[in-house]
Amino acid sequence: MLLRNISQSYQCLLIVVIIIHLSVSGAAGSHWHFRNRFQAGLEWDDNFQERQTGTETAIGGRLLVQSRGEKRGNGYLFSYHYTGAFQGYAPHLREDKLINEGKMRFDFHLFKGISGGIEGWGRHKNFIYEPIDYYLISSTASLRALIGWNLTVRVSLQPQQLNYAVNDYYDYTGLETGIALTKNFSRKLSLELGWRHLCLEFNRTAQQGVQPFPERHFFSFAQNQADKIQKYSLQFLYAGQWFCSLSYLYEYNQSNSSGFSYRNHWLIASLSKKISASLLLRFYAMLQQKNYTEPFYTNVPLELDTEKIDSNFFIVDLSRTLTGGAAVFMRYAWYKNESLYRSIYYQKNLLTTGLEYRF
Amino acid sequence: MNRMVTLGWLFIGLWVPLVWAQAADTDQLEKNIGQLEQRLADFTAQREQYVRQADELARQISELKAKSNLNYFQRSRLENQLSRSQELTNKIETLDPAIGALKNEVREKRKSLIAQYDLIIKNILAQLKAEKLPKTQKTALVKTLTSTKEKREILQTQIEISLLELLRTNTIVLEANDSPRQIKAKADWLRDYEKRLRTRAIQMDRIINNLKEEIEIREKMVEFEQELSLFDHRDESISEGASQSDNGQVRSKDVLEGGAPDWANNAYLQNSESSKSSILPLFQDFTIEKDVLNMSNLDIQAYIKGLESRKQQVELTADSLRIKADAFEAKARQAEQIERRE
Repeated sequence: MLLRNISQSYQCLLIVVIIIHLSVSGAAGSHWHFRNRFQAGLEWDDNFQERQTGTETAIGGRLLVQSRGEKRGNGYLFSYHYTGAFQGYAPHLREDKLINEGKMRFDFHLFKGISGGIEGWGRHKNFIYEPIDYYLISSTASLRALIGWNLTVRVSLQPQQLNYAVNDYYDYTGLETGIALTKNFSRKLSLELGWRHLCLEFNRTAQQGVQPFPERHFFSFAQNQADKIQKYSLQFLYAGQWFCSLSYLYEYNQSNSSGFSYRNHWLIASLSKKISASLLLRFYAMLQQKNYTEPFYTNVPLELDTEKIDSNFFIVDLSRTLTGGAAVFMRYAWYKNESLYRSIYYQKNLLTTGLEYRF
Repeated sequence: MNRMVTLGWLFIGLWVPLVWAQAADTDQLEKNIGQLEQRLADFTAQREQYVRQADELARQISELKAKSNLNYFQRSRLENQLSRSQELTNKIETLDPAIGALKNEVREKRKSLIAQYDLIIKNILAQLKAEKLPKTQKTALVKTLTSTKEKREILQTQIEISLLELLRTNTIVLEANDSPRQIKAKADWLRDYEKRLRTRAIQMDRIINNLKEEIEIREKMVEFEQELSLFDHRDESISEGASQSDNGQVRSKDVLEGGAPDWANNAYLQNSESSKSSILPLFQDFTIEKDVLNMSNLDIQAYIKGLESRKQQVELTADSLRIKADAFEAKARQAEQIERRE
């Protein structure tokens, strides 16, 4: 509870700081740099309900509006992005949703070689015909320092919170601390080594199965479920005439509630390359190896929204720039994700095409 | 035989005072040039000191001007700095014509000295050719000839360097006493510089295009990741907001180092006060291979903008050099024809 109050106060403070900053910077008449994007597309989904069996195909529509802005001042950089999206499958109204996401970030110089940053991020997912709306918010305070030999160290503190509108069972409040060390080998190549520690406190009591019938008899602790997640990451990044990133992430969750502890290995790769003056190829892939470290006896879903869980996928996107900021794109995606129930996976293929306009 | 010896001594008797007189003139000129060079060095050092002070003041003034609301103390400091800056500008403006005049004077004196050296060399060569001289005397004359030739070479190099300086300050002009060869040499210098500037402009163009492509790829990749996170079920625990992954968006090294980056400063990119009307900064002043990995998109765009304006400046200068070189070549041909007719 205390953590939740701290998190909420901190986020309110962040919003106040950002509003003050915006009004002050507006008065100073400094320049903003904006980029906006509108996207409309059609999507063919061979398993839109994310089922293991009895899959159904549907064609859906999607709309996206995005606005990003940056402003540089003397010793600071302010940036924001907002994305609003709609996704719907006409005959299957329960899948229709509105998503709003916003981020504001303020980086500022502190001393020579040291900068600070504060960031607020939030996503609200509104299922129009289903009572599983939720919001996920986080705010980050970070310090970054150049320590010589082209090495940068970044430490961060990030409270975060998940809140479902109608069900408190899955809600949590978390606090993540992190440190990352980045080495720039050349102008374009860098390597980042990171460690993060996330403490999640759920809004439900921790449970433990009672022997000899743990699947039927549960003992509920007086305290809430608390997960302690350690994340270790290694990322190569190349940003030149082509953009390439390769990351490995190891995640270890130790929960005080029976059946929630796991070990997770991720391999994430992304690539972007211009094939010709107007053709751009983008690729994104992720592989996951998730092992639960203890048996799970209950049949309670891990989450309410299937789309919050992602495991294995690869996505290929080809876009062609047309005249006047317009572009057309075609995207194929394959997913093999963990379902709402642990260790049970569903599979789906997605084919998306659409038009984009940047202004 | 006696008659020949008498005539020989008579010739030497006439030549020695002539050479001696020439040597006295040469010494005087060398002394004058030395004094002028010393004064020029003093003036230049003084100017550099003023420019340094003015640059520092300009930096402080721009910092104060960037602030929206100045308090009383800041306002009076700003006024004080503005008046000091004006004083320094006046001092620099007073020194510039004096430095220019001194440079011209030094160049003219050096030319006169070269003419003196040429005369001495000519006389010595004539003497060596015409007379059979005693060995010691011959050795002394050869020694004088060698040292005079060396001095002439040094002087010629200094004149060429000063011509190069003139070229760099974009003030290379034809002078009344320039020979066709000299005019042609000036035209060649201009052509050479034009060529170098064109190569530079091509390099800058390539870098601008590469950077534009890089920024486009980077931006579109960030958009792609955000979109996937939003629609295609990427796990929020590894997505943008929660992971603090910034994809280069906020890795702005210049924020770390403090202050606005130099490449985002238009005044810097246009030309600083100290480099006014000079071609030289087109070759110096900026490194085109910036570390863009750690720059935010905004900084890269500002940097591209600066490079574009710089490229335009380089191309304009190259065009003006080509026009000037054409005119010089025409003038050289004209002067050659006149010389041939004479």
